[in-house]
Amino acid sequence: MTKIRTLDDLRNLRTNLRQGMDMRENADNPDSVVQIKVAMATCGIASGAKKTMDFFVTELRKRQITALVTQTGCMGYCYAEPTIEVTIPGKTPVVFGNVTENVADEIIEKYIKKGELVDGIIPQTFNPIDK
Amino acid sequence: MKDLSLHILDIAENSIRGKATQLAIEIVQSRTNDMLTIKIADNGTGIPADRLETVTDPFYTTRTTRKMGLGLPLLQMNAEMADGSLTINSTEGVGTKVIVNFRLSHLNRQPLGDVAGVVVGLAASYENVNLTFNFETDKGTYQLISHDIKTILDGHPMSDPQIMEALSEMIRENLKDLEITQ
Repeated sequence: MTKIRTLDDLRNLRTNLRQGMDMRENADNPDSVVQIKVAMATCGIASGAKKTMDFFVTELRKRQITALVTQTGCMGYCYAEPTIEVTIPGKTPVVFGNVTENVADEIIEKYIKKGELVDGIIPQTFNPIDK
Repeated sequence: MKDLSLHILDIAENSIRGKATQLAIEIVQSRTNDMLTIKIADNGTGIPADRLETVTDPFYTTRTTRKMGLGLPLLQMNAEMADGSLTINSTEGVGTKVIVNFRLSHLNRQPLGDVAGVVVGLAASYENVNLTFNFETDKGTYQLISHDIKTILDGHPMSDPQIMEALSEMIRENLKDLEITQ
């Protein structure tokens, strides 16, 4: 891939994505793709949430998994940062705690790909963040 | 916080919680004046005058989920350790501006870190907030406005990892030309 330096390069990339089969059908309906939210308040950031987010961004692209990655405020689980919420289409969102890169890898391979649950789920009496 | 980009991310999250729709992040690196300045300005709810004094108190927070608020105090501490200072201007209903500066060459000044990644993460996560990013050095300036990107993407979510990586790369390449010092 050629280096992206200007907004025009970005426009070209956008056109290529449109031609590719990628997220075309899903773009108008974000609920139909896997969504990952990384809690990014002081507690999360200090515990390495940015690294976790970078890991998801890089690995999801590499492993060609269609998903959206965003950050959000404090979910209130400061003791278990970095925390992430994973929403697989049609399923209840699940919050995972202490998501280091190793755990993130496990979540991608087992939960996102196969739907198997992995350790580290924060049990729910929970209110999913709805932003 | 390991680097300044993480501080920026942290303070910007405050703006988002303060219901900002405009967010401006400005970094000025001046070798001539041996100074690094970071400004984060929003049009959020603002801080009431009687509370401005307390926001840099680590045991003050408006949250109810926990008892402390460490974001601003940690940044203030890191600035003061590097011969700098932190100033907050805020007007209720108008917005808040946090200005923090450091002596660029000071041993205790934290590295800048992945500013590009932070800007992209914020822009992608809060697409309704118009984020303006300005970077200025002795060599020139670079500006990016998140709503311009949104227009180009034309409905494609910015939080698609392919887009996020491309955007980070774009910013990084442009900052390189400005000879930023970590």
